[in-house]
Amino acid sequence: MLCAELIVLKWFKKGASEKPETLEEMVKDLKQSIDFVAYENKDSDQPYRLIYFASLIDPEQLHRDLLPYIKECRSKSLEDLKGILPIENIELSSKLPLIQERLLEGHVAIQLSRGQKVLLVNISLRKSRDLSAPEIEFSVMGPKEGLVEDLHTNMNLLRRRIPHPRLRMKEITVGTISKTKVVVAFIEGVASEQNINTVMQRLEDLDFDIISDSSFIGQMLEDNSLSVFPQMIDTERTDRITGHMNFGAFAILTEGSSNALIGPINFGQLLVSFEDYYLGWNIASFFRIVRMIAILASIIATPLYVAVLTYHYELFPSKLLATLISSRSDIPFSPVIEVFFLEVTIDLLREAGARMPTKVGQTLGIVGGIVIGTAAVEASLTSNILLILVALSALASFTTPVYRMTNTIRFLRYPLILFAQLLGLIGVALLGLFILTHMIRLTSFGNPYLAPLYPPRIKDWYDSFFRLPYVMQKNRFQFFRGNQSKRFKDKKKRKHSLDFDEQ
Amino acid sequence: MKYVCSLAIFCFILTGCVAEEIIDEVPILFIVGYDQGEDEKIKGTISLQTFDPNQEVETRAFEAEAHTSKGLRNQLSGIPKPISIGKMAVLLFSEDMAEEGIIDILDSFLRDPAAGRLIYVGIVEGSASELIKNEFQYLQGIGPFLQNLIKQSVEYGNMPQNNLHLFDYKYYGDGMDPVAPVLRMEKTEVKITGLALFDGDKMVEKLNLDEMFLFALINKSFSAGLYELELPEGDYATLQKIKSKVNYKVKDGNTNPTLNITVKLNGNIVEYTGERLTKEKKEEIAKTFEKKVEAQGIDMIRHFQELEIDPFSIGDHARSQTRQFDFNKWDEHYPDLPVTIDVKVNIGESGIID
Repeated sequence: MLCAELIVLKWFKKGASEKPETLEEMVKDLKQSIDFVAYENKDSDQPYRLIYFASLIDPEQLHRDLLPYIKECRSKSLEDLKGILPIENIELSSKLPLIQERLLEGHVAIQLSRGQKVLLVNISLRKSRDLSAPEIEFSVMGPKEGLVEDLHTNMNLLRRRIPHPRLRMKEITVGTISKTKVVVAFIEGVASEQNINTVMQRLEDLDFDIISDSSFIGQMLEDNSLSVFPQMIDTERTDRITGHMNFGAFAILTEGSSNALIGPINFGQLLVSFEDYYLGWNIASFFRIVRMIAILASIIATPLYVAVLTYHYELFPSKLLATLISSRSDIPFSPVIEVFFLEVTIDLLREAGARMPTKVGQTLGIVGGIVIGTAAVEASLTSNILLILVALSALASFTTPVYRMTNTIRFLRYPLILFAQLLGLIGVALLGLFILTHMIRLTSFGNPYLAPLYPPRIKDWYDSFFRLPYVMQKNRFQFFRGNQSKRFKDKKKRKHSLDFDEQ
Repeated sequence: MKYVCSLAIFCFILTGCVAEEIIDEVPILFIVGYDQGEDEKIKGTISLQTFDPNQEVETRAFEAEAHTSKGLRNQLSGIPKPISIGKMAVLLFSEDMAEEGIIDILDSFLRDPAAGRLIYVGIVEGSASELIKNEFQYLQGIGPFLQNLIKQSVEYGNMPQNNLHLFDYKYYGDGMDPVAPVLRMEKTEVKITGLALFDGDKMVEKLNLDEMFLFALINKSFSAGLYELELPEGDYATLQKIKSKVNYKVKDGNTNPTLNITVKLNGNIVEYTGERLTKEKKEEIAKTFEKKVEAQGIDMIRHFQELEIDPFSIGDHARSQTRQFDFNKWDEHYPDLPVTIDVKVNIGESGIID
C-alpha cells in the first residue's frame, strides 16, 4: 500500500530526488509490478538480459524475431547485434529516462553485458478492434467506415482516402502520465498555416495527466470553454474528416479514441449531415432547410408554449382554443411546471436509453413513450397538446447530425422555458438575443463562429443553408483562408448543346 | 459574471410587474353588446365561453350597467377576474345607441393594447343584449360565429371591408365617414341586413343588402360574390365573381370641384332564366348592369350629399389629388358636387356549354 502511494507520489513529483540513478535501480523499482520482466540468461553461449513489460510487448515477435538472432550473434557488442536484428528503428542508448520511456511504449531492452548501455527494440503489441460502421453518426448512404481506438489504423484510414503527399500528419504527445499520442492531420496549402500553428501551439501548451478520450482535448482546446456550443466537431466518420480536411480544416486524432476532432468550424457546419453531399443538391438542400427549421422549432417550441399560455393567450388561434383549454382544464399545474415535468421526463428517458444496452433500450422507449406519455395525459398531469409538442421537439432535436449539438439544443431549452415563465415572450426574446450575441462573439480557433452570416461571406453561401451542385462548388470556403482556393479547373462551357441523337 | 448575475436578478424583480394570465384560468370574451341602460348608463352584455374537457363549448351571458365601458367590469361580479379582451371578436351596439354616438365606448378599446384591431363593429336592429343572450345553437358560441359571418361576407359576399381599425381611421380622418354592418336577430338565426352609415360616430342611415352590394362595388376595387340582375323583359341573370376596378378623379379640388368615378366590372354569368344566352343577350345583360350601377350609384351619392356624409371617402380622394387641399372649402362644395359615374361591364364567361 505504502509502495503504491510512493509510486503515485513519484509520478506526480516531477524531477523528484528518488529518481533511479542507475539501470539496476530502475529495474528494481519497476520490478514492483508483476508484468515487468528482467530476464537474464547466463547459461546460453551468449549471455544476455532482456528487460521489458510483458503486458506491452508481442511475445510472438520476441520469440521469432529477437531471441534466435541474439543466440546466433557471436559478437559481444550491441552494435553488431543491431546490425543483425530484422527490425527497424533500433536505438542504442544509456540514458535512463529514454530507456524507461521506451520500455513503457512496448520496447524491449537488450543487454549483452552488465553496464548502462541497452539496445531498445520496438516489439510492442498493438491490439485494436475491427473496423465497424459508425454507430453514433449513422447514415443510409455513404461509406460505413468508422474510426477505431487505434491511432495507426485511423491514420491508415485517412491516408488511404487522401493519398496525397501534402497530407501532413504531425505528432505530439499529450498527458504527463498517459503520454497519449495525438496526431494533427491536414492538407498543406489547403489548410491555413495560421490555424495549424494555433492548434499545434495549444496542443503543446496542454498540461494534463491522463487523456482518456479526444473529447478531453476538445474541451481544452476550445476558444471559450464556458460556452455550451461545441467549437469543434467530434466525428467518427472518415468521410466527414477527409471532407472537412479538403475544405481546409484540420483533424485531431487521438490514441485510444474512436472520435476525431475537426476544427475550425462554424455554426452552420454543425447542422450539416455529411449525407447531404451524397444526395442530389436540390433534395439535400430541402432536407437541410427542414432540419434547420426543426432545430429552431425544437429549441423554441416549449418556451413558446409556456409564454403563450401564461401571458399571451391572444396569440392562440380562436379555433384551437377549445381544444387547448379543454385539454388543460383538468390540469392542476401552471404551464411551466407542466412543461418542466414533461421535458425532464424526456431527458430522463434519453439518459436512461443512452446507458442501457440496445435491447433493453427498446423496451425503455416503449415504456417511456407510450406508457408514461399516455398515462400522464390520462392522469391529467399534462395536456395532450403539450405532449405532442414535447415529443416533436425531442424528435427534432435528434435530427442534428453532430451529437454534441443535440445536447446543446436540449440544454438551451431550460433557460428559455424559465425566461418564458418570468417575462413571457419578452423573456424568450431577451434570452434569444443573449444567445445570439454570445454566438456572434464566439470563435473557433480564432475564426468567427457565425461565419457565412456574420461576418458576411456571401461567396461561402453555396454550401450553407442549402447546397449548390458540385459544378458551382469551384472555390473553397473563404472561411478557412487557405492558399489554394480552387477545387478544380473550370471547363469551358459548350456553346451549343447537342441534340439528343447526335451524341 | 456581474452582468449575468444582475440580469438574473432583474428577471426576478421585474416579474412582479407582469401579471400572469394563464389561458385556462382567465375568462375569455369573444363578444360584447352595448345597449342604452337606465339613468344614462350603458348596459353591457357579454357572453362567456367555458370549455369542457370533452371539447364542448358552453356559453353563458352576463349583463351589467355602468357609466363607462371599463366600469362595467366591476359590476360583472359573477365572473372571475381578470376579464380579458384579447380575443374579442365582435362589438355590438344597439341601433338607438349607435344613433347617439359610439366613440366613447370604442375609445376604451382603441386605447387598450390588449384589444385587437381586427374586431368587427356591428349594429343590431333591436337589442344587442337580447341577441347575445339568445341561445342559438351555434357550435362555437355566438361570438366566433358572428366574427365568421362578417368575415365571410367581406371575403366572399358583398360587404365592404370594415373593422375597428378602419372605423377608427375613418372616424378621425378628414373627408371620410365610417360604415358598419347591420345585424338583425330573427327567431332562429342572426342575419346581416345591410350597412350602417355614420356621420362621425352617429348612425344616420342604413343601406339594404342590394345597396350594400352597389356600395361595395363603387367604394373601391373589390371582388364581390353574387348579384341577381333583373332584365327589362322580366328575365333574371345571376352574375358571379364580380370584380370591380374603381378610379376616382377629382378635378379642381379647391375651387370648383367635379368628380368622375370610373368603374370597370368583370363578371361571369352563372344563371339565366331566359331561353338562350346568345352573344346579343350577353351584351344586353352587360348594358343593363351598366345602367343599373350608374343610375343607382348616382342616386346613392346624391343621397350621401344630402345627408352630408362621405362613406366613399371622396374628400380623401380629393385631398390626395389636389395640392394644398382645403377641407373647409371642400365641406362647402361637397353637398352640391357634380358627380358622374362611368361603368364598363365585361362579361367574362358564361359557363362551359357555349
